Amino acid sequence: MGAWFLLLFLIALGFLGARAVWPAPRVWSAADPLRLAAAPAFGFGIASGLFFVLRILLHLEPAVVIASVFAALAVAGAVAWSRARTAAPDASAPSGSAPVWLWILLGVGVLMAFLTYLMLHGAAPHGEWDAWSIWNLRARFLFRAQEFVSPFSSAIEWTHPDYPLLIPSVIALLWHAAGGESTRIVGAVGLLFLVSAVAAPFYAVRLLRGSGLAALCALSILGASSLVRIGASLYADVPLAAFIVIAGSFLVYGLEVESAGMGPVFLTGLAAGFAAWTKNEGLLFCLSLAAAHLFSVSAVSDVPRRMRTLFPLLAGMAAVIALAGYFKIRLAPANDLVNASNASIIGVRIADSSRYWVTFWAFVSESLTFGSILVPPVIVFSAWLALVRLRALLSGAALLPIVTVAVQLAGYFAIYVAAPNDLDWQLNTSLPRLLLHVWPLSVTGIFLISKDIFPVPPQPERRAARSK
Amino acid sequence: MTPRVLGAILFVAAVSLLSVGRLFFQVADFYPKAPSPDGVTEFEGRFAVLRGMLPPKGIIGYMTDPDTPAADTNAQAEYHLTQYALAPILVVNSSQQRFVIGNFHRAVTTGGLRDRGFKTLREFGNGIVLLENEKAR
Repeated sequence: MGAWFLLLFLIALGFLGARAVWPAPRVWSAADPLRLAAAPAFGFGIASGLFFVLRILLHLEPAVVIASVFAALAVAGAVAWSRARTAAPDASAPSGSAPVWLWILLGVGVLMAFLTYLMLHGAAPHGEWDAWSIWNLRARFLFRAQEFVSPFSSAIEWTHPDYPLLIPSVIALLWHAAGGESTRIVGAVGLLFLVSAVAAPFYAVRLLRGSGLAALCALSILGASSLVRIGASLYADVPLAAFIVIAGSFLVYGLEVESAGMGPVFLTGLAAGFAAWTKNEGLLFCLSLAAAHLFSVSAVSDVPRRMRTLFPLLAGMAAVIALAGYFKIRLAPANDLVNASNASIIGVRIADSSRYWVTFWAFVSESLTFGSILVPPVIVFSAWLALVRLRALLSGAALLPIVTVAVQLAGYFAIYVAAPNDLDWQLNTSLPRLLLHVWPLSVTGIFLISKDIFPVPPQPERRAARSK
Repeated sequence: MTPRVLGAILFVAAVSLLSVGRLFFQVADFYPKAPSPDGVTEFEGRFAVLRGMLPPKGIIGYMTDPDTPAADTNAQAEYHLTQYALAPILVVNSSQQRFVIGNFHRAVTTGGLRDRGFKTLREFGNGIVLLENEKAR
């Protein structure tokens, strides 16, 4: 039971932490569903940071780490409560409504995805290959070990000892609370990340564009059924996708809703930092997001605000990347992609045009079959945009998710070209999962630039009539 | 809402829902036939007694049937699962350690192992053996 209570406290920590940074009045506020959707991911990120510092670096007892989680919860709660007194209400969502049948379709989709996850997890409670050879294995090392040298030993290089520790450390912490190893806890953590990867963009699009587009956005994200399948495999790819879409959603919200202040932008940086603390690809995402933040502008007048928001964005990232950097420098052996390479070998690979060709066709091929979607997503969203058209006023902020995804994919492309391993093997085993990292953010970007198509009830007139 | 827009909504919603639904029905069909316990739990069970005998840290070697190709996926999976079962002991895929876990699928004799320099310390059944490498003492 202890682990389930701790799980709830971690969600509360994420929610109150988000409210401490981005305050709102004490009553339930318009953007609270967005904060709550991201809360499990933020809670897990904060707890993993505490576990890393207190347990792995300072060798304190697990009970101290659990106590520190409660202390962090108390501090976050106190700050959120205190800041709520002077906080302005969140901007309310557009009043456009979605037809009932669309909500029913979304409900059916969510229910089928949920049941699929439960069945897949029931059939393979330890997850699939990478789960038990990397992520849950590392969690076992952290939970069972009496010292913290073995988990990062190069003697077991195939376990990728340099991979970051967010997922293994949260699971180890929850196992300590449970007093033993439980695959149900691991499954619950995986499910919560999956929920965040769908719910955070849903609520962000709902706040910015209305319920109808939000419902379609969530349904489209679930349409890539590999999201559920890989989520239930307990790989770190879905948690990474969750942090990526949370970061993108919060940043667009923070840029489009100026009254929200810098809170959402700082949380964006934090989520991007947690992405880097989840998988190495998250480090590339931090660069992609920062680049998109600076360059995805629709007018020169956007530039001063982008410069002002750059500081909180980088501050949020730096807080977590400092942990990841310390881990990489002091504990982890070199990454296999870096270790096996040197400048001259990379130079040879970069000069080999066939590697570009092979990688390009792999990207094209995967984009047509991605996610086990019945119709290739490129066709689905091309048809969607052709039929509903783009928004009349397309802000740089609305374009930001698409620009971020483009930079991230360009980075993945470059890494494949320069990678030391067999290129075909590397592409076959990782490209579908790499595209999954940016799938929720890509879909969110599509719906943020789509025209408002759902009817808006004439509320202002009604209000005016009542006041007369 | 124009027919064009309604068509776009129905197209996106239908493609997404049918994609989720396809996986749901595939998994619903497979789930009742899934082995219980699952393969990882069953594999781990073979190492339960051995795990209780091992110290809380250290390195142990690992070997399997002598003619297994290095790229054999099943053999690789079993080695990884052995590490998963025995963590935090480091299991290295080499017989050059003093103590070595044998995970054999074909019958091996104590005499055959002795000829290769390994003393059998204990057999755990299902082809799992704890060996001592007499050359690495």
